[in-house]
Amino acid sequence: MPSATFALNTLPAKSGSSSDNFPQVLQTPSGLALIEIQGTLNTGQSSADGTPSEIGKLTFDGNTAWLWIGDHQRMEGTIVDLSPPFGVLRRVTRQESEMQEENGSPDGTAVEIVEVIRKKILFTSRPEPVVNQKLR
Amino acid sequence: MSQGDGIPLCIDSTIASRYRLMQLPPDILELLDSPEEAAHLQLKSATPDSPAFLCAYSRTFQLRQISQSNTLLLLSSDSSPETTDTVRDEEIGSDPLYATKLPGGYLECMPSTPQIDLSFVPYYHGADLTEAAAAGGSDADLTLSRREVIARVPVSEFEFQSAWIAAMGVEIDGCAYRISQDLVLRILPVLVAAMQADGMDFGALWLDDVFEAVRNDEDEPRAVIEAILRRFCTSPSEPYCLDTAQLTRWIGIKMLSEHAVREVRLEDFMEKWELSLPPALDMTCDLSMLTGQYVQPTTKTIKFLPSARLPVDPASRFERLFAAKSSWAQEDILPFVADIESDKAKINTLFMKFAKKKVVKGKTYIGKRGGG
Repeated sequence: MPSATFALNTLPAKSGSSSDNFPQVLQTPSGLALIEIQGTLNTGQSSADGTPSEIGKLTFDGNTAWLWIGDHQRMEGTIVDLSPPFGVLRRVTRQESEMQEENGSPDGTAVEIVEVIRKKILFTSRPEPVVNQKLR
Repeated sequence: MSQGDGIPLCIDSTIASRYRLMQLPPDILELLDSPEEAAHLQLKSATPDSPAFLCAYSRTFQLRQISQSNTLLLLSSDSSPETTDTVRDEEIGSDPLYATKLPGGYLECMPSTPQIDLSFVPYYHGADLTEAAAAGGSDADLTLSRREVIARVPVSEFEFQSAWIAAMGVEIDGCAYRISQDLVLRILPVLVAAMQADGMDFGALWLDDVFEAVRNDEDEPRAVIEAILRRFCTSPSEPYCLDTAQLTRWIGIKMLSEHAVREVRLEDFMEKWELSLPPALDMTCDLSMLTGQYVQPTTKTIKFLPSARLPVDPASRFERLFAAKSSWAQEDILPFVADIESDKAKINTLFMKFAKKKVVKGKTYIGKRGGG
């Protein structure tokens, strides 16, 4: 029957995982965070080789966040509490679980909560036009 | 505010396959903090297509997939290992964040009290009969161990153990069985007589003493005696305290189950019940012990009707109840709806919807809708 062990990851936090500009409240030991956008994000054609493509830049001021897209648009969002918090689950493969000397289920499947995320950046407003500073 | 010192946000679709989101309500966070519960945490499902359950030591939660139309992006400071180097080389300034869309929404955890079905566990009919069956190799499930049985049942260890004791589950030579009711009925009088002969206190029983007392009269292994003893005791561990009311009830239900198709005279049934009780115990049979297990088509007859085997759907349940008896006194029908609805006002609504209430000489009767 399908079964998997389930555990909270207790591995030590990675050092220097997040940028200095990233707010402290959003930082988690493993460097995972959550963004919710009220709407759909069209990222266009993803590159064939799966290379990450940049969609914009994030800036913060206290509890407010901006997502700048290109030179002319930005979205305003806020940092809000997640109630209840979210756990980020990850499936641990057989080799990994053997490496960690865990006693997995008979078929060796294990799922772990790598992170508990308690805050998210919520974007609820439409993108607003901005005038590029360089063009002024 | 300008974007000059912003953190580059990149989309990396390879992260999505690695992660899933799950809501962590206070109950679950509590479980994760409790070492005893967290040590037993497992994700289980009965079959690959059935719902998944998160099972801790004493509690079970059902997982449900919640979809949402908002875009959820999971940010990671790491990209996938293959692509990290190429991108990092191009970047100057802040380290980028890698985001991935989580198309499936998230998982929700709901507290659940699942029905535990152990019907796939074979019966143990006694040492002689089981050996004969195993030699024949007719039943493939004979090879299941207790551990394998737990893996098939999507509930917590504690809930499983309670159901295992109630079903008189036993592991003999690495194979899991349920002790057959006929065997229990045969062993019980021997067990009680042996305990009485040795002058044991039924309120404080030790397994070693009981097994020693009974081994001259019974060939059954110690595990069988232990399973029977635990089933009819109030305490989960030694010293066991024999629950005579529970024992009487179990024997009553067993005797009554033979009359599921045809009703029997109440007088005959009560006599049969009393005669089948171990004579050494001073127990009295009372029909109220079997509440929710029987129907009295007339005041002088009785028939087996266990509420646990009735349909869960209220309409079908009332249909079955009225097929067995067209008009019920309200207090007699209540045990048969208690498991589908506990709220008094809602039970009344069920009566109004699926039945007809009638008051005769101050007594409330529940009858069939549209009937007499």
